[in-house]
Amino acid sequence: MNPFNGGWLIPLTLIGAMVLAIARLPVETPQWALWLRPEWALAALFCWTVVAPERTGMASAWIAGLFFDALLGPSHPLGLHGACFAFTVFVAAQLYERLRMYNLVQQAAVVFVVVLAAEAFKTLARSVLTDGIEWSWLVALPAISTMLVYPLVAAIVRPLADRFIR
Amino acid sequence: MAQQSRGTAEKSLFVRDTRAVQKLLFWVLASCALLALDAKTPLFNGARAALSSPVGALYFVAEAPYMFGNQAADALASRRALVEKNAELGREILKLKALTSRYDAVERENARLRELLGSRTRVRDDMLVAELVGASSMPQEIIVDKGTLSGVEAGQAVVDSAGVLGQVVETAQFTSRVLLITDPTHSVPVRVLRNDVLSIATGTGDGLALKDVAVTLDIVPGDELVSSGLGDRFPPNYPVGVVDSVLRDQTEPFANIVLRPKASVNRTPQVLVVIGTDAAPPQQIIADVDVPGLDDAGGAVAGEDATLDEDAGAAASDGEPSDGDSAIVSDATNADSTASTEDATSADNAAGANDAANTDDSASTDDAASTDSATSGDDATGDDDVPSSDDAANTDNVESNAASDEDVPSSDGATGADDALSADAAAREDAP
Repeated sequence: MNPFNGGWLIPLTLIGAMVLAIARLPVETPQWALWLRPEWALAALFCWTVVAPERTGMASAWIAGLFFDALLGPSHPLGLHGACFAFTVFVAAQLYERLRMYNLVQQAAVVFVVVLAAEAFKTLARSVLTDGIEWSWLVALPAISTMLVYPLVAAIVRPLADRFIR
Repeated sequence: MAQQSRGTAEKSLFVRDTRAVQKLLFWVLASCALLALDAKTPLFNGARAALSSPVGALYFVAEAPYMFGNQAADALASRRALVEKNAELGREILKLKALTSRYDAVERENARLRELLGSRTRVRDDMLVAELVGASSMPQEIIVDKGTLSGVEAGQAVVDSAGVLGQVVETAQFTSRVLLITDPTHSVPVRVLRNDVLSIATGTGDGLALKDVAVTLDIVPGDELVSSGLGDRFPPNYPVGVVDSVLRDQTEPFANIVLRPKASVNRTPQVLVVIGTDAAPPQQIIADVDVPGLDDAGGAVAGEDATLDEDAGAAASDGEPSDGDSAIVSDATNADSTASTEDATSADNAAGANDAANTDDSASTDDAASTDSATSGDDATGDDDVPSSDDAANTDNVESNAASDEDVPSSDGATGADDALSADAAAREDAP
């Protein structure tokens, strides 16, 4: 009935997040609007960890981050996403009892803070390590957009978890 | 330790990792170490390539909506529209064929002229058509659907029908990543078509600019720039851009020159990857360098040196370049020290040095030493010293060059030719 006990679900949602991370936008999109691309992977990982903290871990999240780095090319040095993913899993795993009591809006507020920290780390590390990337306060934009799409991610992840994991 | 963790776990009823903070710290530190190593050393390039081949397939998935959209548009196109398009394409092919036939004639003529000059003929570049499957804008890159399996390698130039588009920076099995010429970290060595001035076009994010060009340089809006072929990265003579505006502030040492890229950087569904090119030097070099033995003696290496010399000559007169494509510039500035006196001298010098390095070192030193002074030996051993008198320099250099050439009898060089011309003529006889 449920051969891997739903173990394939989390990687599958992460693959979906990868596709959304590289989906091409029309060329007319202005530069600042490109910052609005949500961090789908962080939202999904956060949601999975709250729903099923025993199924995620910092090590596996870190390794998943390597695939994201490879996907996004040499301007994302290896390890960049790993730290962000591990941090997200850490926060969600520490707070999951409390987060389960929260409603979606309150959870989204926590997501905002987590994504803001992750984005700041990413942009800072890239500005130090690679050419052509500069620090910008626009890092708040993906945090806002991720916060806004979080209810949507939760609406996908929760039924999946109910159906396959519990 | 285990005891302690069990204690807290029992108390809270929920699973809780008591060493979570240490774990987080470990992974973040691991990330930082890996980040620094991957960004600053080529240590993990292999691992990155191994990872990016499987995930590269996701670019095709992400591009699927666009592909389906295009296919649906094709499928739904009316017969009438297709017939019209077909006829239009037919006319286009006719025009292009006419152009190509003329191009063939010109190319043959060019080959013949180059032969007369004793220079190598440039073969046509091998192209590979690739389709765009993804794009990013933070570094301005596109991802195309051909990878190492199709023969694409990092460093190859990418062009479209109008001009240079960028270069391959990373390859996976089925995809490769192309850095566009408009990215601020990208530079192309260029040549002004009108007067052969050399410069370097750097991306500005939304276009191109010539950096560090003296205010006195002869460049006007409308000038066409083509790739110069220096640096062996981009094949020569592909259009790069058109000068859009030139702002000359006499209080500033450098002019502000903005270019419009020729290639449609933003909206090209198909691109051409130049997978095989004959990296011959730009043509105008031949006129300056009066040593016909140059090409057959040193092959590509000698030719390359001559081009660098030319660039250095231009650099000395223009006061450029200072940054940009580091490999190119560093070479050019190295050659600069020799190029300051006279073009021919320095070109000879470089060629001679190269020959000495390529062929038997002792033989050429012997020959050169038999005629003249210690300076010729110096030159032959690959030293960059410019000899004191111009005349002597010419003679020595040509001799050492001719001596290392297998076709030219060593007696030619050793007969003690007074000026460069006689040795030159001797070499010219054998060159073609």
